[in-house]
Amino acid sequence: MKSSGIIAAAAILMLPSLGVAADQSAAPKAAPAVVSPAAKGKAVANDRNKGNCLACHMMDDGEFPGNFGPPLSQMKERYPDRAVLRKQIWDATVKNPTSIMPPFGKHGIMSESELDQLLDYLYTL
Amino acid sequence: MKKVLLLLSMVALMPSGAGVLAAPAAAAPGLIEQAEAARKEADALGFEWRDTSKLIKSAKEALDKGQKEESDKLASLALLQSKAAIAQAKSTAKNWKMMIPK
Amino acid sequence: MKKTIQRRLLTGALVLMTALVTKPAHAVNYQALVDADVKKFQGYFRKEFPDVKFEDYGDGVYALDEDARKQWKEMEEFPPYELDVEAGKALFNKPFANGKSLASCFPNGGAVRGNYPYFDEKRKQVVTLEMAINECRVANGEKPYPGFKGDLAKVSAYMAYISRGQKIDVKVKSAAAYKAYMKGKAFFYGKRGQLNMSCSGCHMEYAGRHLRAEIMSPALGHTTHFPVFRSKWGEIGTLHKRYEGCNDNIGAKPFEEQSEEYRDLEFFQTIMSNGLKFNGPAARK
Repeated sequence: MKSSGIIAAAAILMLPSLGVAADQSAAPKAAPAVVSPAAKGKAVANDRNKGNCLACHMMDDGEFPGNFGPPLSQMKERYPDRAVLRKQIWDATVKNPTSIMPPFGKHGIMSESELDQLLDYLYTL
Repeated sequence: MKKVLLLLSMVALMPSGAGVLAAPAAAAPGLIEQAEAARKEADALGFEWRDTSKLIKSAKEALDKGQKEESDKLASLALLQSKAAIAQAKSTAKNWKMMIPK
Repeated sequence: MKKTIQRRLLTGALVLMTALVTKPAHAVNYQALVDADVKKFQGYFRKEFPDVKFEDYGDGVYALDEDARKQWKEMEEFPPYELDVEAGKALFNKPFANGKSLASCFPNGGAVRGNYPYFDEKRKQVVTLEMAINECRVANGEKPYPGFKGDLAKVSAYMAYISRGQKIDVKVKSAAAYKAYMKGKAFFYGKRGQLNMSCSGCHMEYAGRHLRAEIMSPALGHTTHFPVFRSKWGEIGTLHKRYEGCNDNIGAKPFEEQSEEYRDLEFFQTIMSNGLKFNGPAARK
């Protein structure tokens, strides 16, 4: 887990700036801004073709959230074991075969690394 | 005449197609072919997903442009989608009654 | 002794064979099976939404949400489908090349919405209104209307409009009809698409809940009010167009207008609304 975090951080440092607010007066070849895994995870959550979590869940500062599922808050308390939350998002039908929640991992809606980033974001809520 | 007949009989006995002379890589179906075959199966079951044929089309286009890695990535995703759709078709056929509210 | 046993065995075999080839004493009452399903289905909604009147389910989501209903009532003062009904009337009476018209195929001036869908026992398939419209055209040497929208939806809108108030009472009388009904039922409840959802998920268990800013309509009453002028489409569209959109939304490859899958689904859904009245065409968000 820890080593993948370091690799992820290194990979992120290699990325060009994602438009995160930077000093406008800096020289054109300034170092790229660091985008935290949690910020990437928020992007995955809000991408309508990936997490699209707001469709069904109240989450963070999202507007017009749906109410199919419970609000996504106090995630550390509700899911102290990250692996359990990961499995739930990967395929919710394992626990509940009739669950309306899409199997985000099993059905390839998001990649494994995107799922990891999403978890990083969810654990900040 | 005999030489011609001998040659002709050799050709006749060879396995059909260019398989024998072709490079070994062409013998096994590539990712795109696998994805397309699986997509057809999902379609026949009535459970093909929305984006699978688009992914296969993009995989072919990437291959034409020489972007093998990109093509493989797209074809793999299309194959995953098709296999999952086939599994879903079987699961739904078996379990749909479970979805009826009590 | 041996001959008596042999004769008895032979008689027994004959009786058995006769029993197997003739009709059983009581055939399966498919209508009763279906009626039991309808009772359970409608009972589910009565329990979920005790304050909603049965008749109001024809208004879909507007039966469930007061704010949405107000906005919709305002829209109904100048219904966006009015021009389509007029255009549909003109198309209904427009002569084909052979002198006949759609009016020649449908009795009662076209006020026949209440007769569809029905199970055609001869052809062993579900016949919908849109299918009948196009079959009339083809039988008279005309090209069928393209599906989902345009002229097909306009003619259907006119016929629905002049049929308003007709009761929904779709029958299932044979094994073949029941088979089509069960195919529609399996489609309705079965999970499909990349998002692994079923019609029943959103429109039964989560009916009335919010998906982002949209309210899920109840499945009871789903097919009463089509064709529909949907603001999102900016035009009038058929029931199968709505099916297409929904399937697309859940990541499933949609079926064609008047495909067997969608006709069987329409058959099942309309039966589940038996007792309600046809009230199309309608305006929807």
